[in-house]
Amino acid sequence: MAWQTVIQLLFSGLALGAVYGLVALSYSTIYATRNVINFGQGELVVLGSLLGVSMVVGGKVPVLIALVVAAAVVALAALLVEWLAVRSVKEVTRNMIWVMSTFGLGICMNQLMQKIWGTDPVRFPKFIGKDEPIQLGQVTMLPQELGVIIIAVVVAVAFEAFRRNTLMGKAVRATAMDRDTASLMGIDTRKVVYGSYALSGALATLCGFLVAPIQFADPNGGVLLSVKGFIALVIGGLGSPIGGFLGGLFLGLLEIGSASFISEVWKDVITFGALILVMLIRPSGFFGKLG
Amino acid sequence: MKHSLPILAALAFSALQAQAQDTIKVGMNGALSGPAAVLGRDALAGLELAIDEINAAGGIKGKKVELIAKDDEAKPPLALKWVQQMVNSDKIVAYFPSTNTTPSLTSLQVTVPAGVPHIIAGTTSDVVCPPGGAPKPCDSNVVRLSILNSWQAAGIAKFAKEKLKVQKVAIMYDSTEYGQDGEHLLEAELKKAGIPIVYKGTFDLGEKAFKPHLTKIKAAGADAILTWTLDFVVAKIAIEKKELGMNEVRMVGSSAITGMALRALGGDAVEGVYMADGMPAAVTSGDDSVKRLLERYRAKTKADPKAGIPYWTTTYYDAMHLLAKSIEKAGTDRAALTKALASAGTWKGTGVTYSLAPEKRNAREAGSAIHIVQVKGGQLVDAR
Repeated sequence: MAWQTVIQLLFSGLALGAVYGLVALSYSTIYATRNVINFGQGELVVLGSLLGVSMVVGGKVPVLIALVVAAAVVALAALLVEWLAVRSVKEVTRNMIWVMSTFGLGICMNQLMQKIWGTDPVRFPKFIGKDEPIQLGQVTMLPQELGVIIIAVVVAVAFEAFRRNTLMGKAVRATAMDRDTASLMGIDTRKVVYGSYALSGALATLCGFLVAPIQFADPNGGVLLSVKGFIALVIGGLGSPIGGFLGGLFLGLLEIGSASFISEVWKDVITFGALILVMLIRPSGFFGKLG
Repeated sequence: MKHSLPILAALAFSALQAQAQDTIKVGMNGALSGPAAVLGRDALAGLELAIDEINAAGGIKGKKVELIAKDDEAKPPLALKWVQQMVNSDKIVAYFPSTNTTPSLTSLQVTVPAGVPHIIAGTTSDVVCPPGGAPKPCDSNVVRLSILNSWQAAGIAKFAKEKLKVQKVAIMYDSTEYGQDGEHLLEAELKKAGIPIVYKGTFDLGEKAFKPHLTKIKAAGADAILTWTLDFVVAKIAIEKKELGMNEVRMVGSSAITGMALRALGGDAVEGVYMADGMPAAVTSGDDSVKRLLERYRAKTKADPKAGIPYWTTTYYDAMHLLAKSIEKAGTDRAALTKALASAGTWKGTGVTYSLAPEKRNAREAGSAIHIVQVKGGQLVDAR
């Protein structure tokens, strides 16, 4: 295979992986509060992209304004997840019921979205650059795809910096480590939890806006995004947002790489096989810490 | 399920009416939600357009037609459940199966033993009611108005050889029954036409990235990609193909992509894409019956003004009129009605001519049924 083709595919894998990585990042903001995963997270991404389509295509709203409005709405939806599927269940039972409740709420949201937006994928106009691919040497790429990679990397790095360097970020990390102690130290853990869910919703929306122009806004696409984002998070490390993001990039490259150089038919076997392998060799993921 | 509320309301209303007066009940299964919903909804629109006309003209022998339409989500177990309910509880006089192959096949388990007339207006699979009666003849209660996959495959191969003059082709098909059926048929027809297949790629309907396939197709030097999958997938393939600068590689698809979704999603990238259709490109054919129906279809579905009428909307529409005509003649007794349907003879439908006889249950002809159309300026036109 020519080197141009390899670079072309590498780029393709990064664009796909950046999307998985952003989903993983939005997972990990929620995970950081109560060690809970929202298995309906992909539906929040879909909600973000469908709201975007309605505003940008239907209402001719500028993309940036639509993004802010959609992020606010999806943040509220994420708070609803916390209220309905996590808090109510977890404090009563202290068991794994949240797995089903978050997954179930995701299905409810999906059905509701299908009632509102229908079941067909919808076109979301490309808002980064033009429809025409740009030529870099013998490699071609859509400006939108290049934009996805750059924006995703910037967001992931900024998010990690926020977690490490700001007081708020430290409060989030303290809450994740030990909620009761954090509370005793004067951290308003409730605010931290609400803030984290809202942020997770906003990240999901950004992901929805970035991915929809390439993959369409697909009302049926939520489950797949949830699963792939989760795999990315586990490979990267549950407690590490930047790890989850890098896990996403790795997963995207692995998918495209195995489809291109081994076989499309074995792609999923290889992807899920990699997940099992990581779990065996490094159960905490590449960047995560156990416990 | 954009239309579910009006449908439910209509059903509830018609249920109330049914108590007040005797109606003629017909049943329909179709994917009204999920990835194949675009097929099911356009099929439903065809039936409803015909039933509106029939009821507005006073019904059949003074009785109104009542449609019982169920969403099988293209899932065989659901199709089975609904058809059992329709046949056993609702006592439908005739049944229209799903456009999708497997749920359509599954429902035969119920309609054949019960002898309920089974009118195929969407399913194109050769496995259901095979032409020429091989390997087994059509079930006795079945007639079909839709075109067949084998005819499309032959039409596509002929077009690729004679008009496009392709030297090497790639086949892209999804992993469903539909995609696999198409792949087998295309392979056989291309072999007959002497066109080598340099690449075959398969994928799930949820596939997100086609560049691994496309870069291999580029490397193999194929000058056409033949697809056998649904519209939103072909749109994605076309977009990525354009991105890779493979503009000289032509695309030819099966009839599943003749709806508006391909053009709505694919935009510029699907310009020039060819596809097999069951009728000439509706808007440009100049046929008044198609134009009238097209206007009502657009009004009913609030379709894009550029949308042609999907051919399966017309087959369901024509099938309902055939049913009405046959009930006029033979009444609602299942055996008599089946006989009347299969003896309908030759008649003109929407833009096409059908012909049914007891020994010929497929109403279209292999040679004349397939038309190749092309996307031009966002519309479908006849390919030259």
